[in-house]
Amino acid sequence: MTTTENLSPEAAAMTELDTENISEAAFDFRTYANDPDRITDFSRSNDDVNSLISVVEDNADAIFTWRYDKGERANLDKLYEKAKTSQWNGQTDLDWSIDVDPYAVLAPADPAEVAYFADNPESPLHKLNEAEWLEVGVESMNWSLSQFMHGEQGALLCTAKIVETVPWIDAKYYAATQVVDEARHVEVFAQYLDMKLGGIKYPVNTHLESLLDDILEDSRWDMTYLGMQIMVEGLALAAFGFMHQTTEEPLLKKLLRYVMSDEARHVAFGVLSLQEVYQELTVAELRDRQEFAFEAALRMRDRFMRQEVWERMGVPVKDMVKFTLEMPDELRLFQKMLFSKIVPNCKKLGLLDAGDGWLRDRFTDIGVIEFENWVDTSEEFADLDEVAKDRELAGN
Amino acid sequence: MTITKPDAETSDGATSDGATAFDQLIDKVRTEFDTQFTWDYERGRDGLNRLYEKAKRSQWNVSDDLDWTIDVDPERMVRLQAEVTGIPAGYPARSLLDVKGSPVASWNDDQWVDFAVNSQCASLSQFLHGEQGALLCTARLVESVPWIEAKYYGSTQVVDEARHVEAFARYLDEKMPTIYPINENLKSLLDSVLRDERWDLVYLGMQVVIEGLALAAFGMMLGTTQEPLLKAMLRYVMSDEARHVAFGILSLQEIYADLPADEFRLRQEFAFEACDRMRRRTLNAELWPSYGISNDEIEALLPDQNSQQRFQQLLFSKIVPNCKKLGLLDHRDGWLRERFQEMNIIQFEDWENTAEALDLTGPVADRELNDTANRASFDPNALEGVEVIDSPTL
Repeated sequence: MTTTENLSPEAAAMTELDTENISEAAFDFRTYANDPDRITDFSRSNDDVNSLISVVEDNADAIFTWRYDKGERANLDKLYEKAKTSQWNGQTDLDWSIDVDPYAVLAPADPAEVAYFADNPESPLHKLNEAEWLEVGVESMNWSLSQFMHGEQGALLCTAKIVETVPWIDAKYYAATQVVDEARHVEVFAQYLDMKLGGIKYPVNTHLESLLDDILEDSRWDMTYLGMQIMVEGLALAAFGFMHQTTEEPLLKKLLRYVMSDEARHVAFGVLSLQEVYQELTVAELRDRQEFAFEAALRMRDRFMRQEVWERMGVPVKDMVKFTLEMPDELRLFQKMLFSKIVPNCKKLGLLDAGDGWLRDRFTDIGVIEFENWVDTSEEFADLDEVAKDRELAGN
Repeated sequence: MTITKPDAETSDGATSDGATAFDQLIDKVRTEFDTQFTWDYERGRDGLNRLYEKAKRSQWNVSDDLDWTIDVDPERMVRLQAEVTGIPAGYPARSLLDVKGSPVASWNDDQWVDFAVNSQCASLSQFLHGEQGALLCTARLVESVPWIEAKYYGSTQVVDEARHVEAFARYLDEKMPTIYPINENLKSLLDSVLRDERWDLVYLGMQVVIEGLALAAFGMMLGTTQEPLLKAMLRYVMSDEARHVAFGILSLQEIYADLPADEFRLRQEFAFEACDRMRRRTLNAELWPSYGISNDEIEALLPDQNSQQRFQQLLFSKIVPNCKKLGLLDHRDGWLRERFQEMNIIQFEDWENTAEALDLTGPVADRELNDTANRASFDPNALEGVEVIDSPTL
């Protein structure tokens, strides 16, 4: 990956969890998770938006299967048939003639959260005037959608990799539909940014990128599932849902609604496939998956610190990260909600409590264990199929 | 429907051991290539953009768009085909009857019908495996190509290829008596395409050579079979394949425009080796052993020029004109032209590509025709939405 070349050795070392420390019971994960130095040292400059390509080595075996029995895995087959009939077209199913005023797109921020940053004299945003606050909103929206778009490209590449590496024909079939879903998602986010928000302003966030790289580099195909289908897609589903609820802009609202109906299938695909795989794994192998899930969760959380926005606006990044981390628990609604899909899905997979419940402890450390009994996505994907609902309405 | 590779069968009934049995059912290909993210999301390649938009509108569903209630009697299918086309069952292998010392000299018509049924199964099986290879290669292309337009288009091809695997697998499973393992030559070509670290060679190997062969082979089968389900299936598959070949040509023209001469030469050699490997397949190699005849015996009967070879040459009728279009034939004093001359396939260099005609018989055109028929009048403008991309293959 090009980014690591630009990093100090210390920062590069931060890209991996220190596995020696992990095995020590005394290691303080809470402090590790909330260390502003760890988060900001590993940072990329906005200048990198000019580099056009990043390269990751793919080390996985491509797998042919000679077992062509479609429907052997009935759940995956059902998902495949559903995916075929729920395809939509980014050009014709969305109304691109809608005019968008970027300032009107802004989600009304949670007043309590704004007050925390605006009223507190120690806040790096304390002195912002009204125009600057608006700017924070516009930049944050562009930043969020840019990260969604980059994440979707990561999903496109990861899913193509799953098609190559998974040994089950039902999974290859289903994953193929996901490849075309992800391409559509990149297409619509890129077009929205380009046509409606004045272009893509933000490069991929370092935390997101390093997670994507790890997923792509891993030679174990079930890790691609865990990283992409459970962690990245699970977080995306929650984040899209949050933005969908808060935006009033009709084009973006419909775009998110359609993207989410695809994403729900994707997460369900991950849960259904991994349930089968994990039944065969040893406690030690499961522990590998738990650690991978925790590190991924941390990076996904870290990426939402919006470092690139603060850098662009001239706000001291580390101060901002530090101040965000110190936010009182009752104000962290958004940060917590991001995990509302990941935690129940990890529980459904048995990852929370495998071994000595290592992952339960870590999710407790970062304050998101409360979601464990929320509905998991293998149960709810059909309810989220907005495309099918719209078509049914149109047909009646 | 599961295929056990003959070479993986062991004497001690390995199927009792689940893990061993499973290992026989998959083949791993070690790959080392670079996955590339592109941060340039600008959609500047118009040809590829139009191909992507067209692919979105031309999707079809194996479960709904084909009539799986059609009964297929393989033997009747073979006899009817012989009757209608005037080509005897078992042709072209059947011409071995006339060769001196032929082990099939005493075969009667019933035996040739049986052979022809199995031959049809073998062809469809290779189509099936080839489509799986295409599925994996195209997924690889999505990962490794650095252009956003090619990633977009390539993603639609991934789902096309999955659909083709699904269609051929279902046809073999529900309608035909048997299925054959993958041919060694095809497997080694697929492996070499998957293993290559240069992404443009995936294009050349998959989109030009393998898809080109498939398009010709599908066309030959479509031209002779009378079975309505198979006919519809092949027609739909071919309407997808025509886009795939166009994708390869459009992309490679851009790549080759900037390629240094020595690199270009390596592409010529790759194209030759891929074609040569496919040509060296013995006719019906999968079948003879089960009739108690070795492939060596058959090889010994084949003179340089006969009807079978001409039949096999037809398979190259799409590849050669496309190689010409890409400048591969005449680079370096016509090195590849000479090789194709030696293979007796150079005569196809100026053949017209039939992609345009195929396109109009695709699933979308069918649906629009049906809609129009329902309105009791046919409006030729109904086909306007499916106009062919002005791809360079046309």
